[in-house]
Amino acid sequence: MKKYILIGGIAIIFLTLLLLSFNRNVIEYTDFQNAEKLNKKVQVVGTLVKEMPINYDPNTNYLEFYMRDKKGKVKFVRFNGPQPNNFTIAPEFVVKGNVQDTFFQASQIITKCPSKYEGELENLKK
Amino acid sequence: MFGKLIIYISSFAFFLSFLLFIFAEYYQNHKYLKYAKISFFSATVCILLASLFLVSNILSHNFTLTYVWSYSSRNLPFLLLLSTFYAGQEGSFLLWALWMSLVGLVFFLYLKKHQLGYLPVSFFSLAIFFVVLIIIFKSPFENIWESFPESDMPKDFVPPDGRGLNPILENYWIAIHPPILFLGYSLVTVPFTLLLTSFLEKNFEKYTIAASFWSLIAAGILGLGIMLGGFWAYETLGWGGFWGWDPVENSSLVPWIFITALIHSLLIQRIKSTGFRISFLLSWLAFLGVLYASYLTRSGVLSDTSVHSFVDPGKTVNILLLVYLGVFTFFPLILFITRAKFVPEIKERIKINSRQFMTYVGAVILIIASIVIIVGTSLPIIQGFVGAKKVALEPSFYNQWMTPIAFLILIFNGISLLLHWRETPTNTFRNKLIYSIVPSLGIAVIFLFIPRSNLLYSLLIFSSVFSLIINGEKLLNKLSMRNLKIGALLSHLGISFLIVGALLSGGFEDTQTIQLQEGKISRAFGYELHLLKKERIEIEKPDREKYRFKIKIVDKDKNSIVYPIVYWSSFNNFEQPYYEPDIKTYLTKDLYLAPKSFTFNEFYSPISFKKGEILSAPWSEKDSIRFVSYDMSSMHFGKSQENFTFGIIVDYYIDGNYYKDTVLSLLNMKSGSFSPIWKNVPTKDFAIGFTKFTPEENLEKSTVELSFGQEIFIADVTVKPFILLVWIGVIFTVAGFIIAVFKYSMKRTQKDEHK
Repeated sequence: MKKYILIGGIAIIFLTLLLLSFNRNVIEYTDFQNAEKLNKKVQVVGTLVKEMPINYDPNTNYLEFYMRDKKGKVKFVRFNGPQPNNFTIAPEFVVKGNVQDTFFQASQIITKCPSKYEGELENLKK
Repeated sequence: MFGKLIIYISSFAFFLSFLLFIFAEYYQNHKYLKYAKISFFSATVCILLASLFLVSNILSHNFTLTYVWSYSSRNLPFLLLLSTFYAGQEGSFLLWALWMSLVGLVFFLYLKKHQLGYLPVSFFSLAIFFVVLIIIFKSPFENIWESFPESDMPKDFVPPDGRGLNPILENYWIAIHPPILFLGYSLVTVPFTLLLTSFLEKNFEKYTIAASFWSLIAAGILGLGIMLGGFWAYETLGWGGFWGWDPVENSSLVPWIFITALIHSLLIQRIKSTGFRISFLLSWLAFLGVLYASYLTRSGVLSDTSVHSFVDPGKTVNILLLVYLGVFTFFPLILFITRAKFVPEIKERIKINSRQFMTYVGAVILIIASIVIIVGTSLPIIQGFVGAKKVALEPSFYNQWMTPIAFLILIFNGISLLLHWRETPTNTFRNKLIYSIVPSLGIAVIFLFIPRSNLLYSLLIFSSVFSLIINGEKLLNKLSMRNLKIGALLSHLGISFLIVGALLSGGFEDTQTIQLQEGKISRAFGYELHLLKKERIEIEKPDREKYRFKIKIVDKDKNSIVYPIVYWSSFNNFEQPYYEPDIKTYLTKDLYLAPKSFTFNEFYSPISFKKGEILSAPWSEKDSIRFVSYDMSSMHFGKSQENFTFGIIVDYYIDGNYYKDTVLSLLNMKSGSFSPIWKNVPTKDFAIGFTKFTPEENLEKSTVELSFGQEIFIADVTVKPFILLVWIGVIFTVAGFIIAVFKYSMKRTQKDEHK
């Protein structure tokens, strides 16, 4: 009996720890408006605003651009690094980071490349 | 037709073999056994034939097969061409079936030699049967007109060339890593079927040695396969590290952890004749882990959270995989429940100060590690079930859990080696313990003062050194007595090295972004970096624009050269570049140079002209550039609706000489954005880029803009301290497994001779 209480106790502690660490290490997909409220690390999906300037300063290693989230809100984004792969042609991308005063400080930008070879049959026949 | 037919026959024969081996055993009937063997061998031969058939189709460029067309092309060198065998899902299932069949054959011969009966082959056949069944629905032998039924393609249509291998995979590693990994996966099935049979026969000790022997081989090969993948990712793919807690990596690690835990419980089973249930569960979980891995990595469920790309194999295959998983979850469970009460009980209490107890604790910690990884990896699926908000799990989750887990594993490993199997006198134990704790503690305290160190890191160092001292001392002792039973010690030593290497290279890595420009010096971490030249390589291959950057690293007065690579490929319509890092390895660290992107430093103001026009060059009145024509040839490689490459052919007249070249740019139709591929102007130290296109009613009237200047190459330089320890650790660990396997087979033969 004692053995089972011990095992059960350990299992409960383990599960609690697991849940707690989920909460700490999980980052939500959200929009800019919500990100402003949350004040913690989140990820936002959106598109690049191409009409606005995209500026990379090689000396400070800062990339600055404007991004439009899925709800249409535009925000100034700052990223500590060069333009990632595929940045200007990716249909959409994800920024990870948090809102600071007036801008979104991104710690990571993940670009998804458009899927290739869909309906490529025409090409095949050539 | 032939390919599909032999797959059908093979799946039928494997199923027959599953039934007949059971009947043969149940009725003790020689005739059944004969037929069982015939069907098992013919099924295996069919898989071999199917594989050879696919290979011959690949080598002969038979593009009427959709699979061959999808993944290979005429320009691939032999080794890569051969590797396209398993570049897609269909072929990887066939590779799995092939290894299963070959392992099955060896397993059969092993059972025969050691007279253990053939019942395990029955379950093994069932396991292969499901893989072959999947190949029926996901066949590499489908014709191209069958794959695109809506296209009313004539049946004798042969595409001129295949789509080719993803250039990321064009590397000798693709010939090495996947086959070893799949061999490891296949080997995991063996101990499972052995222990399954032992429970079915209620003969729990019969297969202990056989299962240990095969678990060691499986763990060695699977471990090697996993880490070769890590090395590939680090060395060529440029993912920055050898391990990123990616779902694909995780799902290969879980079976390895289970099989490693199994090795430990089998050890206890052999020495103390106890722990049969735990061994059974572990071998079962390891096998389920393999099935779950193939489900996770082949269904589309993880596509958002992984760097690997996934293609949804379709509903049928997903369901088949789940049925496979279900059958091998349900029946062993029933068997376990009904047989568990027959397991012989040993009344002796397990003492806490025994090696047995510590080994069990180690196994439990390994299981906990697996649970953490499984739950973390499966999170997207769990969320899908409960309909929760979509979230992503950060790699920090795994690091937070694995650091204390690694600490505990190392501590228990060290302590267990100081204990006797049954019980240990407190005095001797205490003396030995102090011997190893004092130096470990000293190093850990010193480590605490290193910048960026913390208590958790320091604890991990403590446990690593602790385990290193104990394993190392025992190892040297054995060697000095010319005792070569050092497999376990060597593997544990390897694990300690690996963990220290992972901690130092991961926890203390440092990155600086640098800009490289010809003729200018950049600095990072006290090194000077010079971009010597950018040279085009593999010019003979028209499907790529590949550049090698020759970069000199000056370290005080010692110079070395690294060659990172950037290339564009027709595989993705030259839409985005592919990057390959290069590494300068020092004894104490790696300097990892990973290309990131390009910017541009304008030298002269851009020029605009229409087709056919000649303008004087911006750098000299005497030189000129003529816009000959548009080049649309690269557009033939493929098409997507929005992006395509397009180029212009120009004639230069420079210092009295003529040069011809094509300048390419990537155009996005939607946004009109242009991404030029910069090219050096002949004889000059600056580059030309096709930067703007202003369309009119036709191409003749449209204008293009060309810019001139120098490209700035941006790269991340990362210092990875002591990453060499990781590779040393892997070599030690795998060598340990090999030695143990070898020792086992020796022992086995000696035993047989005694009989």
